[in-house]
Amino acid sequence: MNIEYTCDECKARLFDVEQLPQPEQRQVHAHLAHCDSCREDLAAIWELKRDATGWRAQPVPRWNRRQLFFEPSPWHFRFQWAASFASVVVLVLVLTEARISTIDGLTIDFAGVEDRFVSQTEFTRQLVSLQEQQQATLDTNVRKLTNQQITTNQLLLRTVLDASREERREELGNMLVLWEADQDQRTMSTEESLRYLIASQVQDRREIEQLSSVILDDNRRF
Amino acid sequence: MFGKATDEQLVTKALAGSERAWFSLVRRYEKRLYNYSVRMTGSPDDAMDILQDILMSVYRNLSSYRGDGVFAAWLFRIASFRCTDCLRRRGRQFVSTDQVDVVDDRGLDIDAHIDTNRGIIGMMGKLPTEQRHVIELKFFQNFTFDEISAQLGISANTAKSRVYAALKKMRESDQPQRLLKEGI
Ligand SMILES: [Zn+2]
Repeated sequence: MNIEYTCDECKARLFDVEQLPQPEQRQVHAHLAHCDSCREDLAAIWELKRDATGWRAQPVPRWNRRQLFFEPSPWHFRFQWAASFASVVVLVLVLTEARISTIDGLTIDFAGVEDRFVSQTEFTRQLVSLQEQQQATLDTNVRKLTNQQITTNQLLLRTVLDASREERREELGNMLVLWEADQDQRTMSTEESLRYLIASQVQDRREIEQLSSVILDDNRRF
Repeated sequence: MFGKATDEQLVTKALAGSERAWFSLVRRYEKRLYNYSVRMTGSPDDAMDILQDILMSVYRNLSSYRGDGVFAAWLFRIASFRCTDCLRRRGRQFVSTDQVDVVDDRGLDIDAHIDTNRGIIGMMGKLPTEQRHVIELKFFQNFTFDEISAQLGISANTAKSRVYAALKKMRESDQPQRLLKEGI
């Protein structure tokens, strides 16, 4: 009934031969009996499996997990400041009607060449509007930064709480160890006292017996 | 008294905002992922970067894990993406075995283990990335071909062909050494 496996059929089953149902295992072995190529592959698979189990796990170098996942990078803040700072610089440049030019002829005129011909009121209006715009940007950035600060504070608080919880647990652990040691000590000294008491009682009895025998002897003598 | 939380339980807690649950997951898998990265890159330094890259990606995508399969299989699917991506971005496939600083688990220098690890890293380095990936997942992570096929987005047959191609390549590169050993 069994039709002989082809090489492809056999190779597809070589990885986990032991886990195949018995009839399939028999067919694989029947094919292997006369196929050098499949036998060679099976040997290579076994060798690789053996090599893989010989791998000695490398320890992970120490790293700051909390920082990676829960602490915002300092660059985040720096970039937010940079945006606000840029707005202020532009505002100053506009207010002072600065003109920047480079050697290769590029000129940026913050006062605006056309503005010289615009009426004084129009210029003031534009300036005020620009100023408001910059102020709004600045406000938004400050707000963002404040929110960020709040989140950071919350994170910090949570970290501190976590740490103190951990510390308290550790303290409780230490106290438990001390308490147990103390208990042990007490049990030991109680046992010792008992032993001493018993020993001394035995001693007492012995002394009383000796005393009574002495008295009895004395009585007999007189 | 307390059983070990399952991956799924930890994911649920982490999604609800538990940092502790997330760190438990990280600790549970970081060594396996780190060793995976060492074998995939041949460089412990690169492996550390890749490990963090993988974990960051898993953390960001945690909400997309539906809990319908094995967490490890899902994790390694992301790991495969990130690792391939990192290798491509770095424009390098592997570092040479000589530069690999292999240490024993307990910080001891046990030559035999170090030699085995170096040998494995050297062998992996001779394979093209896609073959190395399949060898890693099949022989070191012990995934089934169906799982590998889902992780790499290839058919199980393609995965098997890649293993055979890798075995052939290993045998070829092994040949000169064997001949040398046998004194031919
Ligand atoms: Zn065959």
